[in-house]
Amino acid sequence: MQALKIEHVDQFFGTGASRVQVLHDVNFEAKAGELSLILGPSGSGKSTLLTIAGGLLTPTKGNVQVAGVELGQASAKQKEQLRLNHLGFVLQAYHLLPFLTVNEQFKLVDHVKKSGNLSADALTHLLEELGLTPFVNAYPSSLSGGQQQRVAIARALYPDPAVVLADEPTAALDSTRVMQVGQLLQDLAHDRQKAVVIVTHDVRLRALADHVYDMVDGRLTQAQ
Amino acid sequence: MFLALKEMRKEKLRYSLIIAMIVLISYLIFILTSLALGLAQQNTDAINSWGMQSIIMNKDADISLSQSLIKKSQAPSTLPKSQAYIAQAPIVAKKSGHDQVSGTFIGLDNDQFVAKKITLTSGHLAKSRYQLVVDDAFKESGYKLGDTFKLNGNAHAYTIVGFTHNAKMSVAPVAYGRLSAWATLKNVPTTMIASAIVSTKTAPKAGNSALHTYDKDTFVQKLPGYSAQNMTFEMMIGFLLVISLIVIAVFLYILTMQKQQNYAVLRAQGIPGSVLVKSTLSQAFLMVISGLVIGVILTVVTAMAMPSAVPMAFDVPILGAVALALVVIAMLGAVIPVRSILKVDPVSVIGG
Ligand SMILES: Nc1ncnc2c1ncn2[C@@H]1O[C@H](COP(=O)(O)OP(=O)(O)O)[C@@H](O)[C@H]1O
Ligand SMILES: [Mg+2]
Repeated sequence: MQALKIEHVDQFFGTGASRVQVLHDVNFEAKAGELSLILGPSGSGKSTLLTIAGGLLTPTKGNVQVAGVELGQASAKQKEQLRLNHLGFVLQAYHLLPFLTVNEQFKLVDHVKKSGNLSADALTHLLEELGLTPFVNAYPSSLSGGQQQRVAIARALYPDPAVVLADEPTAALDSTRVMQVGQLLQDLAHDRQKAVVIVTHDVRLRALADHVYDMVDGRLTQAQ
Repeated sequence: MFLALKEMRKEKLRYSLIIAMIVLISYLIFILTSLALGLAQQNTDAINSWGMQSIIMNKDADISLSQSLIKKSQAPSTLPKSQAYIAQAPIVAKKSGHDQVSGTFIGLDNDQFVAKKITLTSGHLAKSRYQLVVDDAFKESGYKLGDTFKLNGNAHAYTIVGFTHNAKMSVAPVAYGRLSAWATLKNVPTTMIASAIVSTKTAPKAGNSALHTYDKDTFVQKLPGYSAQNMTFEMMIGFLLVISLIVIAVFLYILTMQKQQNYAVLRAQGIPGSVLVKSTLSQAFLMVISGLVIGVILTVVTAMAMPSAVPMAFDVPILGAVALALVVIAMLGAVIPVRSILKVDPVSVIGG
């Protein structure tokens, strides 16, 4: 079953003369256990597509299905629950709450989502894998960009989502870290059976992906 | 609560400063309230101690005890048990080596109910024209039992034969004496019998067309400066409450604006807006409660350090009501930033 399915999605912004079409009949699927990479230049509509896939924006036209839920039919509350339970976001910036330590970023999720989160052991293991064990009591401001990004990935994984959506996850990283984080996202797909979708203009990630798509002026095509 | 507490712990300085503002405001409100109450009491202590319900005065006296005069011919030959003469005259006590004390002379008939209501802390009631029972405030100016002094520059000396506590009218000490001493002190002809008749009944008949009955509240409100004073304090306290509303609303609003991006991420992650709203409201609550607790401690310390001459009265129910008003107002102030939390657009965090 597809964890994420996007069918015939059009997105327009603005009204009247300033009305522009940002997405043209986009069709896309992501399956558990696979890493999909959407490559495209800045302004091509990648983030818009991710926003729609995450249920944050309702497309002008078309259907979106996440973890079996048809978003067009879901209430705002249901979409909120869907994001909390089944979607993990890995964003370029502002991912962590500055006034919570690494550990508390996860505790916050416990306060809101009472069950279905990673067990304490699994979290410890995940943090160890990510090399974050020494920093569990540190505040984000004392971590490097790469460390923060890894915490954000752990945070996205903690509720054990079916789908992980990453928007330019490597944009804030120096080049040595880029492949590390990319590898990590690939492991999520392959080892943890998540449907991982990365949108980026960073072609270095290409080698890691199971499926590569090109986004050009709002049109999505499967890359050769 | 989790978010609220964690954030306050991380941003100690920020939140301490806001709490410090609340401490200062609540302290000022408490002190002003106590002063207002103290002053109000010193305006009316003596009157309250009489246990009167109404007062009969000259109807042309503008409800002012000092302006009211009752002629013997206007008064009944004998007063019922529920009524008593009150004869008011301004006095200045003067004795060499002592401070001058200005106060109010109240002439009484020892057989009537007002004289019986006076509780003495020492001595006895005035048995003759030249004896006085005075408020404890005279002690603070160095007067003792048995001291003699001149009143209003009259030749005859008056003797203190008793002390009473909390006998104040318009914040000046009262000296109780005999009705017969009054005409001379007030400088009125002896055809006048008293300033007014007070009654324990709510609406006794005035009995003469020159006289009129007023209830106690009307009389108290018309005491010189009384309502103006109260209004001044009420205005100050009201403004302080409004200022605290603005301070809390503005600070929380600024803090919220700084956190917009964080909130947007949390909303994108599916954290319900209600969690963030609760966090902000509990922060406001925690801040105002901590501020109040410190404010109360400061007020208690002040109360203990304050010299007794300062008219302050610490009334727990009234101060409690004021504190509650402050809490309610702080929570109202916290509702303003709540609107901007709910308006946060999670889309804004995607795309960088
Ligand atoms: N809310 C919006 N209103 C109007 N135009 C928008 C809005 N969001 C995005 N766009 C436009 O849509 C296009 C695609 O943007 P975006 O999806 O952010 O591209 P990418 O992530 O590939 O850089 C851009 O031209 C951008 O200006
Ligand atoms: Mg983008």
